[in-house]
Amino acid sequence: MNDHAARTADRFAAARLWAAAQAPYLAHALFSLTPVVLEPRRDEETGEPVPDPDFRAFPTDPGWRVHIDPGTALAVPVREFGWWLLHGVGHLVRRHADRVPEGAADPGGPAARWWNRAADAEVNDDLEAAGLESPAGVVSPRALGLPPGRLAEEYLSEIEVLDEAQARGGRPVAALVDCGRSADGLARSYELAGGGALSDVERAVLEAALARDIVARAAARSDVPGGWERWARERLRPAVDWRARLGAVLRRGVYHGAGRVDFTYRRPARRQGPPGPHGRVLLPATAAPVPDVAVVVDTSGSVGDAVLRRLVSEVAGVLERACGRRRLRVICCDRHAHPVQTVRRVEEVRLVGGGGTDLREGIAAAAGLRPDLVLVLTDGDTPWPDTPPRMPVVVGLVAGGAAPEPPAWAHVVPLPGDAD
Amino acid sequence: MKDTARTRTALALAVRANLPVLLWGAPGTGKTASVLALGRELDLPVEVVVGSVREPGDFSGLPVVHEGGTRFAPPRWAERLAAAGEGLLFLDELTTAPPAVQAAMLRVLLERTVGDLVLPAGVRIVAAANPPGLAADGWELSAPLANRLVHLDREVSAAEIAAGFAHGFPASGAGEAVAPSAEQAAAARSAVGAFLRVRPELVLAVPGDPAAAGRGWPSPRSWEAAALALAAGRANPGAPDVEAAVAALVTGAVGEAAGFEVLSWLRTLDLPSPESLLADPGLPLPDRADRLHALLGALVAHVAADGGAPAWERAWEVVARVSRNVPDVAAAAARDLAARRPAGAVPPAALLELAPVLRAAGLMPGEAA
Repeated sequence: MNDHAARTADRFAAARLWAAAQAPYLAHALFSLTPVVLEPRRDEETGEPVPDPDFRAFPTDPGWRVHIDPGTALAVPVREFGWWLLHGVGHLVRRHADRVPEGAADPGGPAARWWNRAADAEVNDDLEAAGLESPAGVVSPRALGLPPGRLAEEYLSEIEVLDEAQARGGRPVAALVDCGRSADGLARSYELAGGGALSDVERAVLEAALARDIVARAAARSDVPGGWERWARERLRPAVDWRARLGAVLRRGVYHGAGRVDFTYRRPARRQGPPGPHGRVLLPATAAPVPDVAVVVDTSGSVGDAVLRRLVSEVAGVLERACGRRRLRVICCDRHAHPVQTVRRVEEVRLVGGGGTDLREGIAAAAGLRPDLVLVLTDGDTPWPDTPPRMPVVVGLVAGGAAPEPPAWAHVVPLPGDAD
Repeated sequence: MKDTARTRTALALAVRANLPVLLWGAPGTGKTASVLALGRELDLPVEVVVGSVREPGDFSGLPVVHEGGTRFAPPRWAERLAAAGEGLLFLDELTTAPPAVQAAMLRVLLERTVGDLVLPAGVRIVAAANPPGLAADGWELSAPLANRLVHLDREVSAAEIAAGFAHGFPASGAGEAVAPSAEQAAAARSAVGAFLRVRPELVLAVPGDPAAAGRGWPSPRSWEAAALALAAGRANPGAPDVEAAVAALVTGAVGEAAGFEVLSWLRTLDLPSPESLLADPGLPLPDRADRLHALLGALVAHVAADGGAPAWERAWEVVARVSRNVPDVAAAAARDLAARRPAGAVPPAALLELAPVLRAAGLMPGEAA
């Protein structure tokens, strides 16, 4: 009578093996799942387990346990069971439970429904990219006409629109499938039974090992979908906010150039020194020189005007915070350097130019101003000076250009290439 | 709730093991309060020195003309610590201090000297800093200073603050924490040394960009700190949330990437090696499926490199043992192993035992699911 537990375990083993064969780069993650077999819902006459539609997705929890309803496990084909295991791993490694947006924590509310589907969309596009067919009724970015390779946060607004359209009689987005706490962060009553959950440290170690494995496989030209490779690279090398990084580079460069904080006797310290044989000792005060940064903007037309304008104003903000400077000297540069613009407000900067690029002239013109540091905003599609200028150079490299690397003497900060 | 327990235990372990710690946290989150509480629990006097309102002379000593020469007179806080012989020196606002003051604080952290005064060995140093993005005029730590500190992130949760106001903030349990013994420290050091033999490129990895340089990064010095943190964890197995605390200390010392790598490597250390398994296929095996997967993966790689038929046939005995408990792990390894069959080797009986699960998964050659 109780053989359903053994049969469920066999089913799970076969499904996991199938999944590991489809996606060898996830084998380690799949074998880290701990199965928890739930109490089956039974047929009233035969006593046989019947599928419980609430457990269709084999829900997972953040402790890497997968909760298996015996009725469902015995009814669905092994392929579909395996597909759901891959899907659950996708929710787990992407930490959807920790990313639930404000307002979606209300179980059953529309925001929670949208988040669940957006998270599904983020997972499923990678499964589709690996050539795995989704079971019927599951969110598929391709079938919905959404672009692949986005984050759940990006899918969220589109799913919202589609779902509201459906409420007014449009095409249904997808059947609502419950993927467990690993997708929406809400605790479930069935999770209380059974141990074997991974601790936070074990999860972090597991994710790091998985990411390293994926990167190694990708480097060996093994078959890893792009979405998984992106995830692995980001997991190993988290993206740093470019503003923080630019601020750090500027502060560092400026204080190298300006000789850092200096001591001065021009106005002695307010502190009284101790009495010496010839009167009181004078102690120095500190004085921080206000560093001066010249900005060279690549206006050659390969970088969009809206992007440039936004970057210039953001850079001005970073400069003001990092260096405490209000005056800004800007040189626009295409094939030639345009005249220096000295402005007090960033709105006064006029971006002039277009056509080809030769930043050598712009950098030379900026160096002629003798600033403490030169900041260059470009997509990198330019010849560079052969010899470095006498002051530190920071290159804000706008994404999107396929160009030679800036020279080694420049500090490079990657900047986003879109205007939002 | 858990994050703060972790940080608290980590801080207690580090202070006991004499690791210099840097607490990162937003202003007003009680970094100072937690250090004062720690001092009370450990029964140590605490000196709080705020870097941003000091000048370099407060750390390098004030020049005083004395009997024809110049002495660098230590400030009062250093004299009090020296007189007590032990205590907690809390250097607050490390990143908002101007670089010249930071440089002077660096000397206190590194050489433990203030002016002409050498701080006694019983003085533990804890520093705190606001992330540069939060403070209006923050500086990143210089890479050499960052490398000498174990970085701990202090996160606070609203729920915990609320509970603290209602029932009082819980004690850290640091009073019970003990310093690791010399043997524990040596064992941890040799384990880290073994890891660095496998991954020599991680011995020294100076970070390229300044924001990353202001946190932990791998160097011989920070690996030493990581080893000491591992030993401190061994010495205090009962401390609350000790596993997470040790992980925070290790990743805080050598950075996240290298830290998690050494932690996952240490986990595989208690697995039997492929050589010993082939010599004695009856060795005890781990319970968890992911460990078994790692073990069989190493075994298959070893057999493939060896290439001999006897090793290949013996490896099947291990696979057969695994198949009784975790058939899918065994079957995944069996597929790899079967593909590496050397000439003249006899197909094993274990393959037959695995046939049902392989067939169910649609992976039997020549059959569909």
